[in-house]
Amino acid sequence: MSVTAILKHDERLLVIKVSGHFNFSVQKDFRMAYENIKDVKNYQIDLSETQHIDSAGLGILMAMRTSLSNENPNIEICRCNNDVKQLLDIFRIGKYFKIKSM
Amino acid sequence: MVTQENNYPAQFTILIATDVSVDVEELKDRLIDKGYTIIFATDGKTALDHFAQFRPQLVIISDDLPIYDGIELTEKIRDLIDNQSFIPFILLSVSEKQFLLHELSAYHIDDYYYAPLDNNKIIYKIDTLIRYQLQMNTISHKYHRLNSKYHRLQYELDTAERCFLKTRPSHHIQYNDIQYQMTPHSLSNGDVLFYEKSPQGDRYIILGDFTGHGLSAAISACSIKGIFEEMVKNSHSLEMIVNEINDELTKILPPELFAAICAVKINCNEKAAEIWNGSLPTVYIYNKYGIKQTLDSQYPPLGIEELSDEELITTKVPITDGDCIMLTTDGLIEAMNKEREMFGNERLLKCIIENTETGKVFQSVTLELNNHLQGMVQPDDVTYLEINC
Repeated sequence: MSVTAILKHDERLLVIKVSGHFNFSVQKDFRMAYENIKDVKNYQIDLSETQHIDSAGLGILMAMRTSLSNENPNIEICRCNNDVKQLLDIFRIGKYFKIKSM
Repeated sequence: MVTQENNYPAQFTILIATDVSVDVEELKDRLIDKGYTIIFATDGKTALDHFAQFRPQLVIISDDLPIYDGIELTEKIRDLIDNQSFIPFILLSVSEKQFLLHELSAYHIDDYYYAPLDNNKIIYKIDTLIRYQLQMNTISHKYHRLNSKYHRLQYELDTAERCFLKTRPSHHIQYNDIQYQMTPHSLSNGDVLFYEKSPQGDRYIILGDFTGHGLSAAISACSIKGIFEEMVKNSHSLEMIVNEINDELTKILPPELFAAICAVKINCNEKAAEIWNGSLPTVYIYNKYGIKQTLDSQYPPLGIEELSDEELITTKVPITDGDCIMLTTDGLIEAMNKEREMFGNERLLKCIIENTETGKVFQSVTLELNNHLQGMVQPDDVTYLEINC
């Protein structure tokens, strides 16, 4: 379980990648990845190495959305596996985030 | 040689109890130079009194003390100390005496030296023991703080749990039209179940699964149960009830917490059921001829933001006598056995398909689940219920 973040200044893009299980255990690291980072407009949540996400994981994403809502950011969830996609669909997460399969 | 490297606080006190047989004069002077406070006794009785009065952090005793000898004194001092504090003991003796190591160990004597004393060695050992003691005291202090916080938190959780369990249907009441299985007495993930009849005889059921900590479920469950009961009493529509509960949860829950909810209303006159599935697993409607209809999650969970009119549309299902509706939370689908294999949608579907004819779907799910889990305790609440329409 780990969170890595890569900042691409020229695109004003922050890519946050969660490996393993996306659940309560990554809450603090995930929040630290996007908090207090200036001049970012685009966020990409890269789930290519996320095996499994649970509802607490979805809660972490929702908290991010609320926390950044003043900056009107563009948040995208991408590269998730089928199990993860299924849960995102059940919880209608597409209503709140752009979900890209690639 | 570094002498003043360890700047111990002045209250660091060492008790030295020796008779004339061992010369400790140089040792005493050097320890005082290093900043330790030394209290001194030449017999066992005085040493014991000094210990009780000054509570030193380390004890050096010679073996041949008058009144109480070294071992006796050690025993008596140990009686004064609670077994969680670490007070190191060093035993001194003349060279002819051979200590029995197992005896020293039994009295928790940390080290022993023969006269003439190698003071460099002893002082080095004292510094080491005192460093250990400081570390152990820190750990012990943290442990006690953590422990008292843990008990406080456990008490709060127990209180929340008692409130939370009151929202569940009482286990003493037998319903002849619903059968359900919930993880008993658990705040693990907070599944809620509400069931009420309106004055007209319409039945309303809500099954919910709160995310995150069970505490949030407890807080929310109490307030939405009140809303639910009041609105059913006034025969409000299912849409209005869902909307009202959503408004309440949006108001009280932080952004990371929400509730997957399925709401069902069985109309007694129209012979129809209304279902609203917001983020719970597939709902199954079946009778003895097989599965009539399934209904996947159509809507987001409650407690995030206002729902649009489109998100409040319920699905109407015509019902005939003998029809059943099965609701589950994801705890059932994800229930994992020792081999980390989930119960899964397929197993549930198989239970339903194979048992609709006999009308024993609920019993078969329970049997199959128990066979699957073999007593494995689940981290999430496992809830499923069958409504007999």
